[in-house]
Amino acid sequence: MPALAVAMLTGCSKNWLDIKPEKSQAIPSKLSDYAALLNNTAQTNSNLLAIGELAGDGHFVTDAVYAATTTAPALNAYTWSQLTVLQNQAGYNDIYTRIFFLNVVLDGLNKLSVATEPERKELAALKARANFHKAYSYYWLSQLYAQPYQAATAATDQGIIVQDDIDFRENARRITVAETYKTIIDMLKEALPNLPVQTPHVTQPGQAAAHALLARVYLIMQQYEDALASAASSLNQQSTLLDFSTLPTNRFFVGAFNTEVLYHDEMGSNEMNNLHSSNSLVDPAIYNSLAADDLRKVIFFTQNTTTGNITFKGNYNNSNWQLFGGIATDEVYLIRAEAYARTGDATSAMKDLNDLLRSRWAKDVNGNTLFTDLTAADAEEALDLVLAERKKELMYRGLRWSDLRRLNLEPARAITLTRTVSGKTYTLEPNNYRYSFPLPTNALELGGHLQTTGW
Amino acid sequence: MNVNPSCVVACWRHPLMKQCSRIMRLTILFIIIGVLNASAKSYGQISIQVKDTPLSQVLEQIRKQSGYVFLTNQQELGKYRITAQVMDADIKTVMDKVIGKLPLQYRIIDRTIVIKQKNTTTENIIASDPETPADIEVSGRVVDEKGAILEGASVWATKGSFTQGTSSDKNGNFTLKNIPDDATLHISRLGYQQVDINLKRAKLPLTVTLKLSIQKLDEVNITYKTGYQQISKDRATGSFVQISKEMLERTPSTNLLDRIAYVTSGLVFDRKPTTGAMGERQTPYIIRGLSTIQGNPHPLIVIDGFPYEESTQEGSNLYMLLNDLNPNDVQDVTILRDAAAASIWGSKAGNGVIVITTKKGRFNQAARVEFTSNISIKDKEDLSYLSIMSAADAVEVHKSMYERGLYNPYDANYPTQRNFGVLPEAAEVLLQLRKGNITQQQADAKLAALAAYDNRGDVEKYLMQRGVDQQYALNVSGGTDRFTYYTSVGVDQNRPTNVGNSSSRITLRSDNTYKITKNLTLNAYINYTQAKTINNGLDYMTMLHSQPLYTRFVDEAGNPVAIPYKFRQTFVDTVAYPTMLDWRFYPTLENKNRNNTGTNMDIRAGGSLQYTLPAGFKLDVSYQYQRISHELKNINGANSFFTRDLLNRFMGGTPTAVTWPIQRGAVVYYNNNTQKMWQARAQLNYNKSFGLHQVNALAGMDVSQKNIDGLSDIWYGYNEETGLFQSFINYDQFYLTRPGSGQERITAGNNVFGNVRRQRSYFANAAYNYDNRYTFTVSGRQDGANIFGVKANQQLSPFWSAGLLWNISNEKFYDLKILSDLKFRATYGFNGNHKSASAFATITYTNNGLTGYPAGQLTGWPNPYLRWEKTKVVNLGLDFGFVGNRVNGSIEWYQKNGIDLIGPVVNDPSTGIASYSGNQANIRGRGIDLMLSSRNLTGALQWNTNFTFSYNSNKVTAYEVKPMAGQMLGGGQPVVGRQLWGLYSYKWAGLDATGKPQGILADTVASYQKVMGFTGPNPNTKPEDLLYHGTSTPRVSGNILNNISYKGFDISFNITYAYDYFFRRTSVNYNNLFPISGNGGTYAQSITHKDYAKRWKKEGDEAFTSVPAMPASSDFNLNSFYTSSAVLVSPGDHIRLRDIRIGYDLSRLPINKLVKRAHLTATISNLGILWKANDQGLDPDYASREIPAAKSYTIGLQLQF
Repeated sequence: MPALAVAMLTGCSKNWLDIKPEKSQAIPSKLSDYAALLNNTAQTNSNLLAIGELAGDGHFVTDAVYAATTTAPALNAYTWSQLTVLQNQAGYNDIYTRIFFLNVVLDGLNKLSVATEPERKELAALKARANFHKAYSYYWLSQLYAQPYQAATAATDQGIIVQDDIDFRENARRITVAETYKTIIDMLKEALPNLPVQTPHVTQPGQAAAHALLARVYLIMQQYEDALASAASSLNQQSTLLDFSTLPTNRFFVGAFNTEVLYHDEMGSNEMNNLHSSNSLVDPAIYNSLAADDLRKVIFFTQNTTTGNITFKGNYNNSNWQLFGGIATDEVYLIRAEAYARTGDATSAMKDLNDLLRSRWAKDVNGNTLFTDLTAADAEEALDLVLAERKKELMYRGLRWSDLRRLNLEPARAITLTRTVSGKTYTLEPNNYRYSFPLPTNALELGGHLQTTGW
Repeated sequence: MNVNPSCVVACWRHPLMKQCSRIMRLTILFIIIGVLNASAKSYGQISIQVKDTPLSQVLEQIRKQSGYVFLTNQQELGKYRITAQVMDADIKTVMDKVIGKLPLQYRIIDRTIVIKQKNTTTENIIASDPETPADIEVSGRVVDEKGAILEGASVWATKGSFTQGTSSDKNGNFTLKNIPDDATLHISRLGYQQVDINLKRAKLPLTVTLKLSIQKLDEVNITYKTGYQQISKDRATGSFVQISKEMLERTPSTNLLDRIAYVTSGLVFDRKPTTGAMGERQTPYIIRGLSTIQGNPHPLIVIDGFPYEESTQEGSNLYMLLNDLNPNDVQDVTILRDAAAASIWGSKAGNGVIVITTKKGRFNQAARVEFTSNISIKDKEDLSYLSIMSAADAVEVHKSMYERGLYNPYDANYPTQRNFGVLPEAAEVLLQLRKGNITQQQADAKLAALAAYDNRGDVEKYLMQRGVDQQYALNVSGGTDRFTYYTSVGVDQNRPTNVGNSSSRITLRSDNTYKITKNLTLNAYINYTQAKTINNGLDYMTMLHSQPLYTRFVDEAGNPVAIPYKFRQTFVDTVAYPTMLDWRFYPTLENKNRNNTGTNMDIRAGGSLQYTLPAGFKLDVSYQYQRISHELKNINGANSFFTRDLLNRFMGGTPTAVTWPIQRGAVVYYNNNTQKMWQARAQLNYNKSFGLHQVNALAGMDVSQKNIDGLSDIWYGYNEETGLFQSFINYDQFYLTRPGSGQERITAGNNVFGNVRRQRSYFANAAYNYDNRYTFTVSGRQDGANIFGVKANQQLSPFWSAGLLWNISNEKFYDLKILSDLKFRATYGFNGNHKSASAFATITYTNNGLTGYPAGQLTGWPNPYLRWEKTKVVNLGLDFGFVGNRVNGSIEWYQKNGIDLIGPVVNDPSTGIASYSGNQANIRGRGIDLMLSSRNLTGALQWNTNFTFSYNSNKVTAYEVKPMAGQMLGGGQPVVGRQLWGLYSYKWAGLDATGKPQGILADTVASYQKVMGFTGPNPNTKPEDLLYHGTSTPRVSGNILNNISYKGFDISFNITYAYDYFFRRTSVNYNNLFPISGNGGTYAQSITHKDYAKRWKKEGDEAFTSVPAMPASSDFNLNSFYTSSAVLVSPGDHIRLRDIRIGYDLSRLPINKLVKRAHLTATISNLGILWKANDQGLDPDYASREIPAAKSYTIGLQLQF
């Protein structure tokens, strides 16, 4: 009976029950476990809340499609209204679940003690990676729930709800706009030195991605010098553009992980219901603004020969449903171009813009581009050209909503959006409170948060 | 002596060990155990400590400890009261001590002790009887009422002071010499009524028939087993039910659970395994109703004292299976129903406990061999029960769809619109006609041929077979005064009705007990089970439900025909590159192209050591090691549709230079998991009597650990002969796949998983009995487990119970002669239940589908607040027996409340956890269990009836999440104030004049569109608008088992009944008829329920049909409303004839004398429904898509040597 004796003795020891139930593989306890958790792209790189994309302009749906839509977030976001009470919103839950997931990883990493220097480095790299994903989630939420950034009022304006605890009974709290952006920038800056230059896969952020996200955030904050510096840092590390003349035109999407992608992330399809995929029709004005030799006409779009409807097929993902929500170099070119223009350097702005467009253009039989470089008389004209290009190049990436929010702050560039659904016209005036979305009612009731101002 | 089972098992794992050597090792182990038997020493061990106790009671104690039978005059013994103390003495010492001072003398004859008055003066007797009669020789044979031989009956002759005795031998024969010819012969045997014969009037040789003594069988022999101790029925306060070996042998099933399903009260077998509120699987075995919502619903199974779990490869979910246990090794089963009975199992007992005790050898028993064989033939299931629309109706529907132009997109746009989805054959014919490929006459002829066909004949002929189940079991048992042994082997071979499926099982068991020293007893056992399942059969039920009945599976000559499957025939006919594999699906060939096997090896070994200490104490330590490994290997052969389809989809290159990312060969899914578990227990027992007081107590500790480890993999290009597979596969690359131009990766299947569960418990219980009139029991247990958070583990949350038994009929004042036996029981206490949820973040590894990197999925959020669920049980019971025990039984009332049940708790979604599992719900359950057994006829013609009745209902008293109408209709949604598993429907107001269904909202008739309204967050139908029918599990259930026997023949039949519940019928679903055009050509079933024939067709039909008119286009609201409406809900009440069993006792025939018992039985099972409340001809247990189990015929033979 030695086995029995051993069993009883071990069973009596005080901390015998403290072993984690999923011993070998299933309880995160080693660095590799946390690395594996961060490889879980279903949690870390997907299900970004897509209501901003739905609310933005550039695309629309038919009355029949809208009438057949059943998800409240889609119905509301499309009409900038609260036609239906948002009781429990899957997309909202998903993005906070992602943050909770990252908190579990960060909490585990903070409690982990490692012995060797390589391990310490790996630990720091994993923390940086988790912090990037979290910063990206906070950034994404800031474009939906925080009020548009205005330096003058940021300290008091409503920001996002943050949650940094793994105890899910601890209430999350809503911070100000200034705190929101400071949190995002601090997290990215802290992460940057520990992020790798080269990552094995674009679902894992590298330094170029972090610089690019900083550039995007500074652009939104209208801090153009900082945006310029960050965009340049990003492009210094990674500036590859896709040569559209080499892409097949019969595909249903451009495809995931292509050479332009710096960081892969996806929007969820939860709240879109049927307002997307082939149901979403592209504004003909955008399609018609494309030049004949602009290959985006055949690679980004397809026009039905009988109905004339234009649909989008330029997704940087292998799906029509999960829209690309990450960062690609084409955007960084446009950020740097805009930052140059905003800081008065029209030449540099136009170089970036032309470099980008050249990659979009068709070539002749000898492989020479058919593109003729664009020119701008001054920085203002360069800015107009860059902003016009953003509208074409960055469709269906969730970026247009942010652009509307920040451009509305410039009276000359403010846009009034209108939509007509079944004879009823909906209007969204510039700087309206509805540029920040209302919180779902369960968050208000159970979390005790204040509703977004105006709703 | 010590056999360390884990050591033996460790050797097992050696990779070089092949199967045969495993069996050899087993055999060697068995031999070793046998040899060890012989080295044990002999000790008789009887301890008596009595004070002023009636002699009869003292003798009863001796009988229980020693097995000796006493023959004496009961009335005389009553007048002697004994005070004595003997410890661990042999029988002679004890007897001398007990009756030494009394005017009695005793004599030990074999296993019988005869006690009589002391001969004061023998001479005087002789003198007073001068005419000394002649001595004769008396011989005869002892048999029971059925004529079976009775060995070991005590036979003694008396005349005055003269006594001489013997016992019957193996053949029941006895001989006594030199007996006065006018003496009286007494024949007696334990469990039988004594017979006295005056030799003067007797004819020699005698044949003595002994009748069963029911009193003894019922009252003396029944001891309930809890897994920790045995409790005499006389002192049990809790609610126990015991199922005897005889009852278990009635049903010839491979699995023990089938044998206990319909024969006892309080255990309900509900064959519809339903899913719970959050998708948890429910068990079909429910003891006294459900007392959990999301927790583990399965009763605990205990085999020989240790919890037993057979898990499947799904990992942490434990299913109630007993596939690895040979039911022929089982001695009896005790079901623990209330808190007092089960509280010793603490946190595992919330759903009740099923305690299984296996057969063992007995001390001083000659070798006994038992052989059982059952051969069952099972009919094919009756396919005509299926509710599919007729072929003619299907053709008519497809014609009308064609006329509406709904198939046109498949014609005009193909293949530009990617309409590769399956179309029914009639549609293809019509599209051919449309294109002008065939003439109208040809089309009409083809459609007429389709309308006249019924493919169920094909299925029955080519995919079904007669089921054959064979079962053989052999065991040898026996013992000397120092050791006992039991060794068995069982072989099962089952062939179900699906061609290509089979299963087999071999079980081996050895169980031995040794008395090492006079105080030390060792028990050691080992069980080995090897089972194999072959699962190649085609799922023809799904196939039938997804094809019109006119779809041929074979041609006129019986040759395999391809059916429309996954892709349109026109597509697979035209896309073929020269090298592409045939992309058609041939249903009758599939089962030959698969090799799906599951292999299961289960070894369970353990033992216990009992050490008797002075002063009534006994120490008992035990240990068990169990290792179960499942290996699943699904080989999709190179010619299987699965493999051809996969390879074709990935085939690349150009028509002239084809590339195959996946090579030719089989595709193998491999899954292997191993469950290792050890359990250990140390327990101190205390049993002592002080005069009329008796105390039984125990205390101890349990520890257990269980690991599950597993891996799974996929091999491509596998060659079964060489064992080689394709080793170079680019799992990272996206391949363009067809049809369409999707991008896919090749699935990499390697996956490793594992977990560990630990539990530690302390337990104690005590029973105090006074004068066999009053018994008080208390029991307590505290459990700790590593699945809960530190916060929960630190809390002292013991499970406890208290009970009282009042043996009313033992009171002096009690003189109700007719009701000779009356006991009252009352208990109160708590049991627990758990859920496999964790207080820690737990992760499972998978390969990320996007990147191919190993990724961790959080399978459990850290939840430090989780704690045990509790079940509070109050039980009141009355046991009664009428005079002569013609009728006896028990009735119990109970209340069983689930407290702190785990359910979803809603939370601020901004925290990341919008809902978590927390202890938030309560249920109140109530019920009545009644058991009656009566001996209606005794004598040559015997008729016994066993009747059970169970009533159980429950009410959700707290549940945090507010119900929504949609969830309530879906089932499983707890609603406060209602029973769990309530059945809800839309109110029904008939069809309107256009054949559209109507409902009722707020007491007014409303169109179905209005009722369905906006199904989003603000629906028109609120929970209170729904009709609540009742529960979907029977509230009343039970069985009546009659057994009639006459001269060796016996016939028994079991009738079960279930009342007070409802089920939802299926009916037409028009949505299935409309082809869905669009991307990918979504597959359309194109068939529906046979109720289609009864649909509303013209005005006025609404008076006699409730089947709505066919809508002009697909109408989801109409379908959802109709299928969830009250008109499709029927009462489930029914009475069913389970089985009839006829037996004959072959040992009455002049067969080999070696055979002690030979019983031949014939059983017919699944005889069907005798009465049902629904008038749709439906079997409520098979109301959706399945077919009722077919009749099976079993011939069984039981032999004992």
